[in-house]
Amino acid sequence: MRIAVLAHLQDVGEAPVREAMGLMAQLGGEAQTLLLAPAAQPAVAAMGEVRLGVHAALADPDPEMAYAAALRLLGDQAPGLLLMPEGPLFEMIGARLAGHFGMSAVRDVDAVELAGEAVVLRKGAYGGKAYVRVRATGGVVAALRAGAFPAAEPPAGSAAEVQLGELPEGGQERKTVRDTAGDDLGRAKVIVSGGRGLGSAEGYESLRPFARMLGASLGASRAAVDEGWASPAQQVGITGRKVAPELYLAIGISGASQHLSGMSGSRLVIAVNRDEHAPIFEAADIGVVADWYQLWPHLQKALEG
Amino acid sequence: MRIICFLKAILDPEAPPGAIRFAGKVESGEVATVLGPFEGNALELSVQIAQASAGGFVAVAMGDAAQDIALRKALALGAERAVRVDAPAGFQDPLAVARRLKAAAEEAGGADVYVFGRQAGDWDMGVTAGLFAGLMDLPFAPLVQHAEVVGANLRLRREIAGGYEESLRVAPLVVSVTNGPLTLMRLPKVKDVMLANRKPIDVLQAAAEPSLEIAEIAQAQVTRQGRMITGDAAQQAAGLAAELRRFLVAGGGN
Amino acid sequence: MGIPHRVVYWNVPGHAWMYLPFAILVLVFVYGVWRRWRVWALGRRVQLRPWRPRLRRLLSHAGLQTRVVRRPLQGYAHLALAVAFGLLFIGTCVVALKADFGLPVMQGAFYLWFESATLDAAGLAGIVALAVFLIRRYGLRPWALGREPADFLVPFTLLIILITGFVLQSLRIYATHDPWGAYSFVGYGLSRLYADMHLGIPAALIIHRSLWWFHLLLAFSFLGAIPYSKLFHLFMAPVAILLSDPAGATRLETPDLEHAERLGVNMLSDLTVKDLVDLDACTECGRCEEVCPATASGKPLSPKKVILDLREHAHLRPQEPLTATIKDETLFACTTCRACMEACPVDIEHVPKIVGMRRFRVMEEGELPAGLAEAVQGIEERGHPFRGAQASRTTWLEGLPLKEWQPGESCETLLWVGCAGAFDPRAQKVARALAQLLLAMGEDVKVLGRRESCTGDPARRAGQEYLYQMQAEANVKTLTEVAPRRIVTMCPHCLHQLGDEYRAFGADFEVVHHSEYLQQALVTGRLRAAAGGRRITYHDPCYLGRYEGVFAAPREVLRTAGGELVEMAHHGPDSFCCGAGGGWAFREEGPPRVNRLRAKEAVATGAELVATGCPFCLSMLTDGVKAEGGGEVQDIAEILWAQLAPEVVSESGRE
Repeated sequence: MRIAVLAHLQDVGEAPVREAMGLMAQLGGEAQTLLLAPAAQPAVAAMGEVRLGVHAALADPDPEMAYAAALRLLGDQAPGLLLMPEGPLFEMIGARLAGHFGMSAVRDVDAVELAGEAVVLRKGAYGGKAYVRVRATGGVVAALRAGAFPAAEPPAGSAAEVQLGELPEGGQERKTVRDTAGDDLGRAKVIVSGGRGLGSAEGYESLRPFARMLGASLGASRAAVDEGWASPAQQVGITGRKVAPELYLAIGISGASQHLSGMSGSRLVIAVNRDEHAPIFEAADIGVVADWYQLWPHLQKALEG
Repeated sequence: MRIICFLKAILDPEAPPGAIRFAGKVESGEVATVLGPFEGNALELSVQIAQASAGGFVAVAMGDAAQDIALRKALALGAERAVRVDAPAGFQDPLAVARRLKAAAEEAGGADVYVFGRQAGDWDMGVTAGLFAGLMDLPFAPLVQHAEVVGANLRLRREIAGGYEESLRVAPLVVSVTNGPLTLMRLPKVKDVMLANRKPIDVLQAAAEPSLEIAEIAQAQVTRQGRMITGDAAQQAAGLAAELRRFLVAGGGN
Repeated sequence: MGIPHRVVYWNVPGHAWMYLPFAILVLVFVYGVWRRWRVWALGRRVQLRPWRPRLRRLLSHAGLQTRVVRRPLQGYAHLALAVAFGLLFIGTCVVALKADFGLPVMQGAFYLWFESATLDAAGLAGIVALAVFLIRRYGLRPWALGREPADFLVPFTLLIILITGFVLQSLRIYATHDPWGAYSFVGYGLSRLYADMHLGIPAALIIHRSLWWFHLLLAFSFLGAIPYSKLFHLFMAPVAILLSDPAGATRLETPDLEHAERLGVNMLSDLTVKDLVDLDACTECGRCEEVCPATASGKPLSPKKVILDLREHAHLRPQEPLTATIKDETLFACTTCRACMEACPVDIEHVPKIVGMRRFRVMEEGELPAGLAEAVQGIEERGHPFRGAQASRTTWLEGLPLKEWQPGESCETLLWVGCAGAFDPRAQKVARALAQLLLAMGEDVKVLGRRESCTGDPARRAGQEYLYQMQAEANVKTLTEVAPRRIVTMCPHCLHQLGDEYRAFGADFEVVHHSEYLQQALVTGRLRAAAGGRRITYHDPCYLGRYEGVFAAPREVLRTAGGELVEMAHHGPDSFCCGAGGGWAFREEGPPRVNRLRAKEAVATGAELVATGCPFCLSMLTDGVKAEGGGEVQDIAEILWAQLAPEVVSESGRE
């Protein structure tokens, strides 16, 4: 079976790409790595033998551009198994490429094996309450969960650049705003997340000094995002945004299953909630039944002292 | 603008642990079927675009009669028509789903905007919108937070890593909608609910061969054996601070 | 000397001119009443039958002012003033009978003892009462009393009228050397001073004549102002009392939604005549405001202000929607605890108006506060309002020998646990304790399990009447099929629905709160409990006490099984809400939270244990009492189960 990895180095970083390449090598067969990049950067050189599509606009790609670029990189013939790291590129074009080529698509994959012409993929379901193995027989695009596969040293070789030509413009009057001060939850080592229990936007803001003390990134539950306290990009607990920090602090988050699933890869989980029966405590290593507003002044003193 | 809004009702994602059993198959017990977690946002965006453009929307769902709760909600919020693509409950190959939804979209006469929720929350696939766009060969704008009608175009605000993108996009196109304060589903008016409960739901037959099937379903273990820090606020804070220090000293953190 | 009497209109030649201002007064008065009549006429008619309980209520609340005197100082002052004015009014009528109709009524012993002595006593009582009012309002300055110009003018004018009345009387006695003057003891006393002051008779005559006209015109102005001021309560309070629901308006109206032109209340014409009369019956006494948990916790709701704002709306912009006047943050702040209605001396019904307006906002406009919207959605989708519940309907009874009712079976005692008992981890313990008590009584007790669904009470209180009615119809259908001999419930909200409000849906079940059922069992000896030695205070849940009138049973249980009972500052019918009602159980409440205010009272009693009989109160108080540094909070079922006599327990096995 022909297998390919398709990734954009900038949006997920090197490690997930190496993990995908590792999986591809382990599965065997005809393998190919396809990378998109705004320029032939040193990071690309470290990936060994790859087909590289370069276009300056890929620094911050519009979905239409990324789609056109990927189609040109892939050519007319899609592989039987296309591996992509979970991330913005997959979100934009992964399933759409699958539809275009008449392949199916599966996300949040954490195990893959070949069974003859079929591919068996394991993924989480029902907000992490279950996992399923699905058997794909007609070609499949799989989005791989970060950290689920061992990273591999790329094979020796160098990048072969593919001419992408002119890319379609996509959206007009396009502007992008990064509003989370560079917080990248996917790569964060410590995350402080707040939820509805904080009660207000000001309440959520009170997590900022705490996060600063710990050098943590700020996350949020869906409730905090829906209330408008936090940016949607900070939401933990959606497919494709699973976080796996060393330490995850859940403040005022009751713990809907989607959220628990999104943070389940964290090494140490500490939860603070007023309600001792909140499900979050089932998913935490350390629990504190307390009102954050009563706890925080003491905690601040204790941490500063 | 003409809009088709695709909806899915799923087994209650808030059902308590163990209420839905996963052992070879999904045993739902007494768990209710509810609107998926992003379907309300999709519905709200459809209503907003339809109102702002003096257009209308059709709601399409796929599955058995349990899907009607999603379609009735859409009718109560002003959908002109509700179509259910008949299919048994349970897992379906997303590609086959997209193909059958495409047939439903064609039957409904097509649209300027095809609206999906970000992911359904049962199989946590989040790929149907993209697959549909690929099959229809239409532009795809994922993770939309807000849409503003500008003539025949839409100014979309989309979630991107660490922020958002705003741009003017030309119809026809496919969008998937994420949650946010701008697309919280409005409550339907009770008069409209009463009317919606009397409206028909069209059932459509459309076939597609699956290329993906379930090989195994099993329960996942998510609980941790936690321990509690007790005492009054000062004692709890001291205990928590000690844990945090231990973690930071051990070299955790950024 | 002859027959004791006095000359009317003494020293006032041309007194017939007084009929001119009198005619003006009548016109002004009639116009004022007509202005208000226009508003009442907009209202929907109310059913007045049966009459008897209404008349009883009228006699008690208006005639004897039994509610007014609950606050003794201002209450008895008010009663005194009312009686005084009644007497003075009769006295004036007697004068009219003599002067205008020539009837010989103002003479003899009647003149001496009624027309002179009694009326002087009444006038004096009136002055004392008005002094109490003025001193209270401007000296003690209670926060719930307004201090607008009208609040001063009304009692002050009245005071001047009474005082000038006495001065006139005294001048007449002084100048005429009235032989029966001493019977008018106040006037007589004053007249004695004039001699000491060497007041000349001519001067007295001039003063008397001018003062007479002043007194008359002032009195007429005062009477003319009645339909334009809160004085109108003189007439409208009895009407409001007569129109009020003798059962206390605890049952909300069940509208026919299918055929309603508008769902809920948004125009004056959506209100009832009673609602509109209420607006004119309000005396602005502020008692509702004093007891309102929303006001006490700083929320933008005062029951008094709602009534006054509606009154202003009705007169300034009667054709405009009420949403222009009453805002959502006010409407949805109400916990529906009924404390305001219990406190109101004139039986104004605040809660039905507030829920009526909520109905419009929710059903016609799709507006519902966050949290509450999700709870209501939960009822619609899952049959219970507890978002994220970690249990199923039957999780709580695992391991208990408790049977779920199956179709075709009979049912002696049905334990209706309610959503809280099934889904709230704290209340589950209460459900278990209660189930075990019932089993220990040897009851043939069953539960509905997954056939039980929310009664719809939170939806109804939130204004989502449509969803409520669907829940009610479904539950009545289920219960009719089960046909239990009796239903025991641990939730006062379920009690109120199943036993009361469901009657509008054809239900007629025997429903008892567990406190009553357990108390009966203790009395009949079916349960025996060891006496407890703890100091306990009991919190009356609003829906058990003020709504259902159950105050004694839980206290009896506690005296038997708990120990020494101490009462909080607010208890019984005056209990203070825990903060959960009206949908607040499902909303995030910013400080100061109502439950903290209530918990403060509980902790102040020094009780080791706070008891209650409602799962929502239990949850609110548990949080509040913990934060206030108090002891344990338990349901009476838990307390009784822990104290159950060993020989009973050994038969059933304690957990």
